[in-house]
Amino acid sequence: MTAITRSDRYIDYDREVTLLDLADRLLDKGVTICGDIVISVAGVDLVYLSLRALLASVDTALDLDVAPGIEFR
Amino acid sequence: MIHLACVVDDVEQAQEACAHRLSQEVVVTVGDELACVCRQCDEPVPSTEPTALLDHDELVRGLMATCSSVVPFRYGTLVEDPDAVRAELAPRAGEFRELLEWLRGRVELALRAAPAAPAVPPPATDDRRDDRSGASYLRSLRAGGEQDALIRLHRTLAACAVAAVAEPDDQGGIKASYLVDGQEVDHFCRQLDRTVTDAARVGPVSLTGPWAPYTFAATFAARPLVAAEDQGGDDRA
Repeated sequence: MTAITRSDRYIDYDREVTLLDLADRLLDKGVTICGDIVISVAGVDLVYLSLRALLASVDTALDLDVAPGIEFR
Repeated sequence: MIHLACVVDDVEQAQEACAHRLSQEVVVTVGDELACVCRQCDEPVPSTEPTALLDHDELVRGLMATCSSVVPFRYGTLVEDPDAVRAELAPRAGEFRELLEWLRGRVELALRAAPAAPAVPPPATDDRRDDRSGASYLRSLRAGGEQDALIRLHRTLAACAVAAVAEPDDQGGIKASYLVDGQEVDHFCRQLDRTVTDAARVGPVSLTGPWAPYTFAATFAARPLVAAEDQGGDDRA
């Protein structure tokens, strides 16, 4: 997400929160039309699982210091 | 298949913006005033990897910046070809123009607020005397007070927004979305600062954004929408 001036205290750069909010919006909101929406509700759950698994694995890697090049703001 | 991203009403800007991107976007014009920005999708299901979601959102937010207003589609919406896009959108062109005008210059902010103390589930028991215990009574009072604090926080912020929606999360907190004029984001954040400082019963708060108005595009399409400004600061939550 882009930064907002003078609002840094509350604009959250936490990767997990941002990705969850992103998934909330893209997968559950937005205009729908009669075209096919191929990401099913079960698929959304899988995405959340995928996000959590990814973030957990990144956290683990950082804890173990096996990915020293990764930085989070 | 074509994966829909968003609708804009600045056709030239959309074409210009997409011409400078590395990925292959398709701009499908619908009449003279609307364009639907899409991507070719060679897979049966668009990827839901975090990088794909971030990339999709970057496209939509980029268009929001250059075209001043976007109506984002729900991720994963596929249609057969450009003719199918026109067939879907042309009958609703008036609705999309109205929605784009309403969203122009506005962004979505996402709030997650937790209660000051995590919700404590009552002890699992069949003994009815426990339901009348002092601990149970105090627990219900505390939960009520913390929920009131979260509702007050939401209502205060909703008064700074054009529209707002909120729902409880599964941790006893709330998830809320606010549609805010772009130039009012700082004011919104200052109001959040003041409100959280004054509210001892509000726990951790996070705000992300600015997002494209995913929540409000969907809400508008699923009328009736009750905007905060129409209710003197109240909202539909």
